[in-house]
Amino acid sequence: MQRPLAVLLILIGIVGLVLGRLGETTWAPETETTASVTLDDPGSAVVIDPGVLYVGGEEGQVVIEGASDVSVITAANGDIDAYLEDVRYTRITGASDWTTLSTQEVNPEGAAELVDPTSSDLWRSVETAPSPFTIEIEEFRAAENGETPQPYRSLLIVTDGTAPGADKVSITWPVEAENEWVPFAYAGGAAIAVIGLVLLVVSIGGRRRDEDEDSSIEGGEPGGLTEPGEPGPAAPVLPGAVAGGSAAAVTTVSGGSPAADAPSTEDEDPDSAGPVRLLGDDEERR
Amino acid sequence: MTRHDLPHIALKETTMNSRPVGRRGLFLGAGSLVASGLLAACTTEPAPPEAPPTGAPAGDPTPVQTVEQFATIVPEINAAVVAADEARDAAQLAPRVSGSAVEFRTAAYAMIAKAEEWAEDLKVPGTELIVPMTSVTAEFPRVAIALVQDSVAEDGVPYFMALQQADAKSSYSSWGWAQQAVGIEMPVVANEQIGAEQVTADSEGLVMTPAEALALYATVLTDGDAADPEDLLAANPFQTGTHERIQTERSELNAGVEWNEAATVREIYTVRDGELLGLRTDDGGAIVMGTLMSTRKVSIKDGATMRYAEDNKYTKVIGKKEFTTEYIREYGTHVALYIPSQDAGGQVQPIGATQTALNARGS
Repeated sequence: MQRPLAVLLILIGIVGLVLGRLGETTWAPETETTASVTLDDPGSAVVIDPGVLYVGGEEGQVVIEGASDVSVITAANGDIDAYLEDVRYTRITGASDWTTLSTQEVNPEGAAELVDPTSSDLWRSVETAPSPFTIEIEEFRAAENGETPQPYRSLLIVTDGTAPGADKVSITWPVEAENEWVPFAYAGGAAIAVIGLVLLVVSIGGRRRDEDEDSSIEGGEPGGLTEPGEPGPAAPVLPGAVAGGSAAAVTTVSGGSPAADAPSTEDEDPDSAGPVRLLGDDEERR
Repeated sequence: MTRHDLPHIALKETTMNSRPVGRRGLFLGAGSLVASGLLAACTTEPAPPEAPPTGAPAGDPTPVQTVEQFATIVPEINAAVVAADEARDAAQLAPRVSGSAVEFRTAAYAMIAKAEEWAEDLKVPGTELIVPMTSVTAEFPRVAIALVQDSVAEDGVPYFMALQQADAKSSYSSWGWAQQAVGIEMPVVANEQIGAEQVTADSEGLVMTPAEALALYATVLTDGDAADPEDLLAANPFQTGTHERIQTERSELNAGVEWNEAATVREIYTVRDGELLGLRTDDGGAIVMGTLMSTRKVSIKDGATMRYAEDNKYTKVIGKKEFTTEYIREYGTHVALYIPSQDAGGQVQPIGATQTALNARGS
């Protein structure tokens, strides 16, 4: 019983290790999460509220898609609101869940267009690039705390002042989540496998000892011989087969070459007292 | 057991061995599958997103302008003035130059059209920013003052440049610049990254309100120190120079006759409404800029005639050299004053002025 149990334990251990590995890879939680919003009719400007970029941490990436070149503008707190006082625009106010950015329409009855929106004296910085426009959150954070600190500033997104400010905004943050059971799977699997291996080694060692003991018994006792005419005690007789196993376990009763003298057992009367090969304990176990 | 039984026994043993292995495999497989599913389901779900962080509430208000903004605006004002002066076209001043500065330039170009030498009198602030004076007042209109280099010479006398943004959609524009007074101690202003509070016409906490200070200056320029018996206004180069020129003219007009027998000269200064801005200084006082308008009138006595032997810049504009009734010149002046705080006390100190001749006429 020891050996099957050992094999079973080893298998369970391997399964545990495999599960641990899968928990780290295939079943591992996402390494990043992306919250986005598609803007059908946002108005000529889109404003990302202060701090929205940092909802998922201070690293990651903002991707802004627009119909044409996208301009991202920063300004002193409140200046963007003052600039858009009578303009219809859309605010991105946060993340309603980890896949969706929440929005709010502002001044629904306001003006639809902006005149030359990138040229105001209120703007602290204006960056224009072809769509999609990408912002590295870490770099943006560093700029906010640079020579002229202005943490948690709004972002104004415009295109040409007449087209929608943006078509889609996505913010991707890295995620450090991991499966909490993975270390337990590794530890448990390894422990069970080791126990199984130990059991296996012990069982193999025990069998060898048994074999050694059996060999010494068969080779040293005359009682192992069978008299002609008497069936062997619980020893199966294979017709015409040459028994394998230890040569010491095979004893020729009659003299001469056993192979040459041994008649076919098929034609043999089972009750006849002809010479037969006796199988040792090894064959008996098979 | 006989030898005939052997095949049967062997077959039986084989059957007995295969069955448990199949069940065990099935059991293990199913168990693994269930365990896998359970473990996969145990993946930690992230907490829902929190509200956007807003950081600690701001302590002191921060400047609403930056040095970078000054560095953009000042050269654009210089470029607009230079372009307009070259073209003699005040329309090119917009949008960076506004208000009285445009009116003064328009009048000056008209005078230059009649007498080219007036072009030499045009004062142009340079492109180099020396001291940006920022504001922490977020309400509109927003104001700022820039001390900028003279455009003519690097070591020339700097200008105080008034900057004003009417509303969020307007650009900063300058309605005037006043050349710094030479020999006057200048007040200490706030660091540009700290900024200063704006002052308005009726701001308090000063020895007098900015409107009162401008009015006092206009009165003293008009009537001399006699109009300031409490000596609230400090001496300043512009006042001294203006009064000296008037006295010289009066002396020349009445040469060889009794004082004021042939003609009288009087220049009246008034404060132009709507153009006043200022920022607090480090000591609680304020730098204030404003615009004064003035008319210098020579009233010729009955029967007398004022005649210039040769044309000058004014007679070329008027088109005659002889006057029997009056001879009038009009000026506009941008001024800068320092008003001490009420606690510190002291005199109102004019610290800058730039005058532009606007017109001349006579009969």
